[in-house]
Amino acid sequence: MSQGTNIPAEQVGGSDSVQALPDIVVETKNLTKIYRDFWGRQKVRALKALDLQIHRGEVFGLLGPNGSGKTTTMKLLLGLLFPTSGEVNILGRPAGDVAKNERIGYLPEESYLYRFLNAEETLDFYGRLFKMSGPVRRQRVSQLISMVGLESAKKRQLREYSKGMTRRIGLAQALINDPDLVILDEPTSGLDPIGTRNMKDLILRLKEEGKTVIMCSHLLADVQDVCDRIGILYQGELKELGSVDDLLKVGDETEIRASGLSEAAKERIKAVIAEEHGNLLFCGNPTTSLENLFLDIIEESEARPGKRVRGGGNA
Amino acid sequence: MVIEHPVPPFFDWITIAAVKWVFAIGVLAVLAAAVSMILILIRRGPGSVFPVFCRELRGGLSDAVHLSWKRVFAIARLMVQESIRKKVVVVAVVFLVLLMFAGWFIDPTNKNPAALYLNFVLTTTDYLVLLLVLFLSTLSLPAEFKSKTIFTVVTKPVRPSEIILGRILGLTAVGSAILIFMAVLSYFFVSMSLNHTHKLIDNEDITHEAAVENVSPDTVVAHGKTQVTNGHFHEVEEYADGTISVAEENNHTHTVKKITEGENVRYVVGPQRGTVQAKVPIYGKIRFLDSGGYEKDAGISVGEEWEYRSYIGGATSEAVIWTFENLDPRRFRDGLPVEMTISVYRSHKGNIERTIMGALLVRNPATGLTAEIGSFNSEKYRTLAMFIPREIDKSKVKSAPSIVKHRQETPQTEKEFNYDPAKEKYDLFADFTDGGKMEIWIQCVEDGQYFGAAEPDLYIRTRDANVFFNFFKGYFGIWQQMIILLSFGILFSTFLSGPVAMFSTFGVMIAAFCRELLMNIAFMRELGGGPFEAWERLITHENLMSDLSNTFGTYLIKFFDLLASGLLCFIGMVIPSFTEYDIYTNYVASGFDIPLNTLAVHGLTTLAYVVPLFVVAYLILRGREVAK
Repeated sequence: MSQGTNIPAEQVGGSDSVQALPDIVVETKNLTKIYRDFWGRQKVRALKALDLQIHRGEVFGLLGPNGSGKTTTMKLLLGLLFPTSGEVNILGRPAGDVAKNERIGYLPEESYLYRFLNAEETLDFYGRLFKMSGPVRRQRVSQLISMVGLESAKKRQLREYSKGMTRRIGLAQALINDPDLVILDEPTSGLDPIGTRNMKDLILRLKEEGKTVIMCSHLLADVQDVCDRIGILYQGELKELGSVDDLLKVGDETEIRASGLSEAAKERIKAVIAEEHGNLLFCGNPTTSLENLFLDIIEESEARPGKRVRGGGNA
Repeated sequence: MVIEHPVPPFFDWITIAAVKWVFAIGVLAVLAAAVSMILILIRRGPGSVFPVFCRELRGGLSDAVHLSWKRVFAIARLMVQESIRKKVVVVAVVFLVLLMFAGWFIDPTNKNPAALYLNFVLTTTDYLVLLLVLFLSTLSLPAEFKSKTIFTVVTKPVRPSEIILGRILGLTAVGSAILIFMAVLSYFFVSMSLNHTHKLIDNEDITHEAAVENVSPDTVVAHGKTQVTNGHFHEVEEYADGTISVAEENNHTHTVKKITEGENVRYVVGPQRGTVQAKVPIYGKIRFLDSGGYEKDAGISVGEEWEYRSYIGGATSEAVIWTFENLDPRRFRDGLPVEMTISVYRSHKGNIERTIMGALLVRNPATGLTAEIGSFNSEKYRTLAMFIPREIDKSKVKSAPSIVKHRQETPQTEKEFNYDPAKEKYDLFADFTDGGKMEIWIQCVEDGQYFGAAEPDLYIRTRDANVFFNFFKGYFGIWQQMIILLSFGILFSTFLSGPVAMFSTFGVMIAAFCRELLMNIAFMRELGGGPFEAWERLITHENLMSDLSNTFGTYLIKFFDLLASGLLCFIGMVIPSFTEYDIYTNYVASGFDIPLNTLAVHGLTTLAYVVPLFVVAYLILRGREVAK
């Protein structure tokens, strides 16, 4: 997965694809989803009044334990589910508007693809859905197959693919239209360490290209590595929202790590540290791991159900 | 050929059909709007009903306007790929195997082997193709929902209408390809199965008459019969002018070539001719004349359950009358070739093999001038050909009783119209037609016997159409059934799981084949009441005719039957009748050209079903959440 992902926008899809991108790529207002049974009785309140804004060019991570509502949120954003109340706007259009999909790429949790097609046919089919012309489609298919490293298996039907290979072709189909907004559901699931590394590199490259990425993952280290901002959901409520750096900062601790100090300065610091019997390595705020932050929030939410004051983690 | 449900002329039918269709679509649209509003009310509350409904309506219009044929064909292509990869070709193999073994079970010695073979291939193809599309159309979309593959499609700029239309087109392409394959295979199978020849050996099968000088060219100089092949032989006659005639047997004949090599003479019988035909008939309007000279729509009932044919008594003045219009002398320069299949009902036993004699007359409907063209011997199920010559001899002309239009009028006595004793020859068109209108009468001559006929039983044979082309037209009926069924299948698959959609579509298929029965039950035309009453009679061993006792239970049963008849009536009105499409098999197997009128009426009817099914499927898919 080494080559670039972009193709000229005018070569993809209809006229909708070349519209200017709004600053706020995703916006939800009071977004609520209640699952009901056949008789219309409330079964579960999967998402409660979610207010969220995701800006152009950022990598946003959606975290939460199983059943927290992150997949429901993804599906609402994609229009796969209808909200019970509230609004979702994607790229300035309602989630139910099919035209928004011209500029979206979606990698589902499992790569739900046609197992009777081979890699080339798969990408060709999705390319046709974007009304790409034959030459552009062929070029794009070849480029993406090369990018995800499936050249040697491009003629094999997907039923013969391993999970990792399926994930890679799934990613390729998500990028077929050179989307402005990429929604990745568990992008590193099923990938080996190298595949995971490549996926994270790709996400960062997408960010460099100015694309917006929304991802949800259980692998917190992956999220920590690539996300600019995260939102943590628990029992359908947004419990935490902010930049990864800010959220992971531990405010009441000091860490000093320095180089190039004068001997006198070093001596003074050393003296102070020596008095405390320590070694000076870094001077600043230390950070916790995302895993710790996540577990703390879950623990706190379980202890004190209801709306949580955001930014109240370890910061 | 039996035509129980005649297809009306296209231009007579289209106006009424269009009005009915628009009305039905209007009712459907109102129902769809009402259901949508109720669903919005339940989901969003009363305040959202109008705005959400308007928004959805706008969305629907937008989907219609922005429908992309590129995406539709992409999905259609995917359907074809899926079908190929999922080994749909197995059906063709099954058909091939069936054909391989069919020869064991089909009797080539049958009196009409072509009908037998053609019926077999068309019926087998019909069921196989319908079963194929039943599976393909109902399992594909639910499988995509189950495997969530649909997620990767609907998150692309694909509209529900494109998904439905793509599926309909893709599966139609698959079904059509299979159908064409089966048709070609069937054509070769029928041709090869029917193709045969006979041996005809000089001095063994052929007997030569003693040589006589100066004989007329039509004198028979040799006669005999071919050896038996496929359970039949042909009488052969050789004339003085060297021509050889072969008698028709089992609806076909052969050519015979005489090859003289020195003193040796060989007869070579060529391949069969005329087994498969595509006759183009002109039908007349039928009516009956009773013994009192009264005109009636139907003749006598001889007690047969199947009331398709009506009967006339023998040795009476009763007649079956066909009125033909627009007969053009330029088209029939030598006369009218008439073919008829007159049914025979015997009221007293005799030699069952013996044919019953009848007479064919022509009559000018305006002047009443009538000529008896000739007599014929009718046999049940046997088609007879007669030729009405252009020039009719004076001896054949007779006066006829004029037809009384209404029973209250007094029958007129015999009158002579335009009868000129000095005239020796009469012209068929000049004297027996009135502005192209002519009547052909059939009368039964033998006392105590009856002739039965329906409108299509007598026709003027104009020309023969291309047999090959007609054979493929015969598959158009199957094709239409296939498209209707797959549209139902796709509709059900938008909201039901695969197996449930399959059973529902199977139910539609059965109901479509039994629509007439359903409607009869719905309108209480069947003996023994509705379904609940039938159960009651089964359990209590009551016969169909006896009245049920006046108990509360009986009232309850009648009430449920009333509800059931309403439901059946609705089903009967929504579901097409597949038996009406049997006419194609009937036409081809009976050797008739399928009229363009039938193709146009049925083609448009099919489209009239497919369009609303597509719209309903689209609305359901648009209104449902793709994910759970």
